[in-house]
Amino acid sequence: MEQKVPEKVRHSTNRIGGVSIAWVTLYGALCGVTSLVPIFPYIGGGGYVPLTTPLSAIAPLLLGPVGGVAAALVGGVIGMFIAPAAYPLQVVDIFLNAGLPAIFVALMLKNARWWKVTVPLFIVLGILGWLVPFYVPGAAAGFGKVPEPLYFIMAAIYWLPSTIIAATPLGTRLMPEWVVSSKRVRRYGGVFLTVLAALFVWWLPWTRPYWYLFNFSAELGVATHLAYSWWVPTLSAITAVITIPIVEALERSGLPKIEGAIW
Amino acid sequence: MQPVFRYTKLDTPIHRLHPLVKLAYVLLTLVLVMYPIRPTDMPVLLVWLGLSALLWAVARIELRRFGTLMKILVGTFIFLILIQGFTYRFGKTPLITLGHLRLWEADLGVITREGVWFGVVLSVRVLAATSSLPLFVMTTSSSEIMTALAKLRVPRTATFMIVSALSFTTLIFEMWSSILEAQKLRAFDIERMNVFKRALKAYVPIITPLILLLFRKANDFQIAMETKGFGAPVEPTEIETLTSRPADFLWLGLVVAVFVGCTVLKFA
Repeated sequence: MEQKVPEKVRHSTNRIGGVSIAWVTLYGALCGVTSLVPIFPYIGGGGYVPLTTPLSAIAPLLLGPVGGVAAALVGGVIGMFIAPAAYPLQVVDIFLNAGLPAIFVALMLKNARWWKVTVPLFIVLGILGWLVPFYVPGAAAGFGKVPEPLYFIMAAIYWLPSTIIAATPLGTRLMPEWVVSSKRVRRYGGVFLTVLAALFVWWLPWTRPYWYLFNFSAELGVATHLAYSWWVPTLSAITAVITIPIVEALERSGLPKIEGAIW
Repeated sequence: MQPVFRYTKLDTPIHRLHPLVKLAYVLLTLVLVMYPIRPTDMPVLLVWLGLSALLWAVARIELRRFGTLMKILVGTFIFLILIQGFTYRFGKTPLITLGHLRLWEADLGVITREGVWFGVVLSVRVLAATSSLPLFVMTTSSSEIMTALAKLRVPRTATFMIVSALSFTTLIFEMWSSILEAQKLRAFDIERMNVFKRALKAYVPIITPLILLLFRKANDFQIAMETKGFGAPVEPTEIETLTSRPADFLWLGLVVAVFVGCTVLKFA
């Protein structure tokens, strides 16, 4: 009688979050290369947001949450090697420019299950964004006094709406449905809102290290909050405009589907 | 679209230097620039910048590369000097008075000498931060980076992805240019668009075919990887074996000594 030999199962190193590492690598390379493509200017001058940021933000939509975040991080590392002048904070910038947009979009995409993580995380980031750098390290590091409650309200614009979206059925049920909807308008809306909620929260940790590095004054801190309040929705709209044609093309391409992706 | 800073094969002491020593220099730069800053910190920053200049010179990196770095950063410097000039809260001595507009602690109509100086100090801080990574990139080959990451116990899959992605960048540049040329033939010229039109219209016809082509290539790459036995439970060999030489310890000693000197100078 033939005996069944137990098969030795080994954890596959060829996949990350169900995606082949070849896909993750090539998408990461694309994110890295596009760090040389300026897409949107910083308000007040001094630089541009590279195409890396929207491409990293949509990585979880195209490659699933885990594969997308991995691809964005690889892209950040490659961007650092290709455009080192755009990464003054080196490894920190890998997270700020590429990792965090992908992580926040991934969280919003899987918000139906992950809202218990997303909501507290957004609140913590919001409070940290309010405190750093004008209260922590504050006057000890030469930072001025910000006018309250104006400054708190300005900072809340960036995390409170996203937190409300993440905590309500809009974020837990509707948006995850809309991003995979067959109706184009609904899909545009879903992707735009997902990216918008993620990028609003991303803006806080993205800016604070630079405010610290550039020793922003209190006046500039308030003005920057105001000025970027239209900038983030515009960047999100651009990201949604780029995403939908890619998703539709992938659906028609005949390429193997990826678990957790929206196509 | 081509990277300005890329590895150049030369035989210099910095090219021969162990990548972990160069990584230590890069990370110490990050620590140094993240120290809280005061207007009196200029000597500290200039000492570290001097070390960077020495390393750039020994690595025989052309001066025009430094010029390119400055060109990239000049917008940031002007922004910092102007903003600090107008809003620095300890600014007392007026340099240029355009009027008076008091907002909380600052008079936004006056550029102060202390503010401009602080803006210059911050610009030097940014220059010190940005000058370290190009040196590492231009003097370290992909295989050395891979070996260094392995020595730092970075998981092999991650190292493989990073190094493969680095080698794929050339292919992506070529594909990007081909698609751009193809779109130009269809009278879709991205270079003639302004920044907003570009953001809304230009990237979809380039990025969409690029991603499709890349994912198809990724399928081939996957097959190639599996054929070559990637992920097999055996210890892979290294393209380049790195050994530490006395010169590596000397350079490391110099970098650490300058860092300690700067730290003492700052906090003394």
